[in-house]
Amino acid sequence: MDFAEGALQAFRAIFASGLVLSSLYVMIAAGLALVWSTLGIFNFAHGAIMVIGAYVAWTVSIDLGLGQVPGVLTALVASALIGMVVNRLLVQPFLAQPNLVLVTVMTTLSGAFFLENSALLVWGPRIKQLEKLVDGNVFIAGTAISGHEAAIIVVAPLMMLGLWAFLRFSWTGKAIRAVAQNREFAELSGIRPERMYAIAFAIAAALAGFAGVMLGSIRFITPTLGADPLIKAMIVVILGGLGSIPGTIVGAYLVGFGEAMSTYFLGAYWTQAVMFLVFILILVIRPNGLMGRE
Amino acid sequence: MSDPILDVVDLVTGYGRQPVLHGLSLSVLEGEALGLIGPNGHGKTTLFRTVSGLNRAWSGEVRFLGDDITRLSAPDIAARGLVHVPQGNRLFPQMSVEDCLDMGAYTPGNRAHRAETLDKVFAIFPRLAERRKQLCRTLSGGERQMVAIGCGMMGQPKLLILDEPTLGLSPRLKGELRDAIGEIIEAGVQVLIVEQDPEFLRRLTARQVYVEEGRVREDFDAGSLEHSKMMEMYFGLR
Repeated sequence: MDFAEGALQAFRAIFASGLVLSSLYVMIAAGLALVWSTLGIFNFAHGAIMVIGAYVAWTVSIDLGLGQVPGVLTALVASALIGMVVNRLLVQPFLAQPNLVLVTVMTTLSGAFFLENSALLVWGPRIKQLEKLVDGNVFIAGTAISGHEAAIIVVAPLMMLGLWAFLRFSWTGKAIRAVAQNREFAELSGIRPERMYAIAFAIAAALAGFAGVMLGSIRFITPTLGADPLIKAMIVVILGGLGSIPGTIVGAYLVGFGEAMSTYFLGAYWTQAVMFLVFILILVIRPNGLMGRE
Repeated sequence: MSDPILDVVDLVTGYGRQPVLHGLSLSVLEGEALGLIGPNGHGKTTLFRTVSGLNRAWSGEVRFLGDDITRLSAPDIAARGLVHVPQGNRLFPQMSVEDCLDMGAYTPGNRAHRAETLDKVFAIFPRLAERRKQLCRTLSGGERQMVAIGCGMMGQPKLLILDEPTLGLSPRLKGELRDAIGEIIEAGVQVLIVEQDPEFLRRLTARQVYVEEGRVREDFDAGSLEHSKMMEMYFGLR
């Protein structure tokens, strides 16, 4: 096998798996970035909400046999509700605290453990899997991926576009940004910050739930399914420049393709370490992330 | 005598345990523009923040259009038409001028009149119409102040509170802003203004109130605010 052929083969494998990974990270990071840009906190329960979304979809569409669409819709509603509860119980009571960021790391982290263990109690330790939303295979650059993965590749940017348009053009979306940029002036304009925080959390959680459903049919659903993607999504959000939507997209594709390349050339064992190394290096050079402002 | 539109009775509040207002009472009568003057750090901004619901009152009462609004939240008070344009406002820095003005009309009742009110704002501040797509953080101090007042107008105020609208502006801009505020008053909006310049207030308002050490000084005569009085007020010179 000559060099050109080898390079082509490498490119094909990396391109397909990188695209799938990136798109998954876009989906997971979107909600995380929304909460960060609105409240200035990281929601560590985001991954656990994702898992609950996947389990709820499984219960409705497979256990109860009601079909895929009702399963996805119920998962969205359930995760949005859980997001609002997390916000109400684990974030709102501490908003006035000067060390809000630190306090909410602890509260949302404990929320994540609570949700994961609840999932274990409710759904048991046996692994589950959702059916793929789209059947069949699609060829990308000569590599076969499932139709479901192709759907993820298409839907993820659309989701970001939708989120961007919502924040940019709708009254509610603009009000969410207003509260994030100047809370007091927003209040004086008649905007209720607590309501905007609740809405932002609900949307972020619904996005997490959807990501969980998409993930739940290409990986196995376990109570800790969300842990690893959550860490990657956090890298994405920080790398992109906290909370900026274009930054989050760039960060997601960077992390996704980086992971695919490193897995291909260095192997899965080294990937995590290499990613953190690159991540730290980038932050040394650009402390506010790739597209972040001071 | 007409009824007061805003009635502040024996208001006490402060920060931490330190009181700033020591039983301040003040009335804005129906149809009047009222000016507030007094040295810095004597509670004028605190008074406004408490009236508009940003700060909690320790005791006393605030009544607006006959209703007790002392315990209401800031958004609720704004929705009732008591609109407070804060001092040195940095607005929503990452939003365009137009979006920022839109947020001033956020409550559903005002949203319906957004287009007409926006025309009125642009008629008074033509420069904002030119800059409608520009981000607020890129505006000059004077333009920012115009947006802030414009946001207040978008809330269709029954009483518009302006906290030092010309703070830090050049004399020329100050004159421009004074004329604009005059136009707003003429259009029938009731205003309550704080300023450090008695001349500025006398041109815009029929009555002025002097606030010192967290109280209204009753013996105040607006005519007495001549130069020597100002020197005493700000520098302690006699």
